[in-house]
Amino acid sequence: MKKNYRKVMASIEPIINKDQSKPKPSKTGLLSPSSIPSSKETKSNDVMTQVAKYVKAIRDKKKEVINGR
Amino acid sequence: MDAEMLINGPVPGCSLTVEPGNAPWEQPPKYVELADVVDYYSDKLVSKDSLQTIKDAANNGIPMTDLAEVMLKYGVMQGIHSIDVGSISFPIIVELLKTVAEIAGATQIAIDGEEEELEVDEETFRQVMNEAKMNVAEKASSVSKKGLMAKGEE
Repeated sequence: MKKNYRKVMASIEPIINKDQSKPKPSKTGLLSPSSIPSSKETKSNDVMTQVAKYVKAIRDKKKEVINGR
Repeated sequence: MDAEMLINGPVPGCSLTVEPGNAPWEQPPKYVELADVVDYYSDKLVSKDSLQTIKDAANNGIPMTDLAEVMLKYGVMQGIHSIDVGSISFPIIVELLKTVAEIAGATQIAIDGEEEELEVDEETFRQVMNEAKMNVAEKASSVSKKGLMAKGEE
């Protein structure tokens, strides 16, 4: 487990960063879309994506806690 | 081998005194889903006692990967989860430990105990080596020869 940690993280980091680099819509109205839908977007539910989601959630929570101090 | 270790160790054949199949790790695991395992560990790690323990461990230089590995192995031994779901949740547990240590105020956090390899390009390496050689040569020539076996002045 420990031996492969760096390799696993190297494959997870791009998945986490991909979500962050998504363009946000410029319109902020009530009925404006929350994100720009892309035709290429496919829902993948593999293990790495699930792990990336958890890691991202933990990092976001940490930011919230640290900024809230 | 240390005599004390021999006395404290298990008696040979001790593992055969219990009926096979009764150990916790030989039973079906309690959790098989990733979400359940992550929930189980996040509940354990966020408790007050855990915060202090993780902070102390981090301050003493214990890598977070080592902590996570021990926790997951113990979980498998206790029959809480299987080893494969444990391996999958490993990066999440490490991230959780890092976060808890940081929030608890640990002064240093080691991740996997391996130092980053310093990458130096070949040209810089040669330059540094040449400078070092020249320094050594300069020092050797500047040392005055005053020893018993030193040559007389020419």
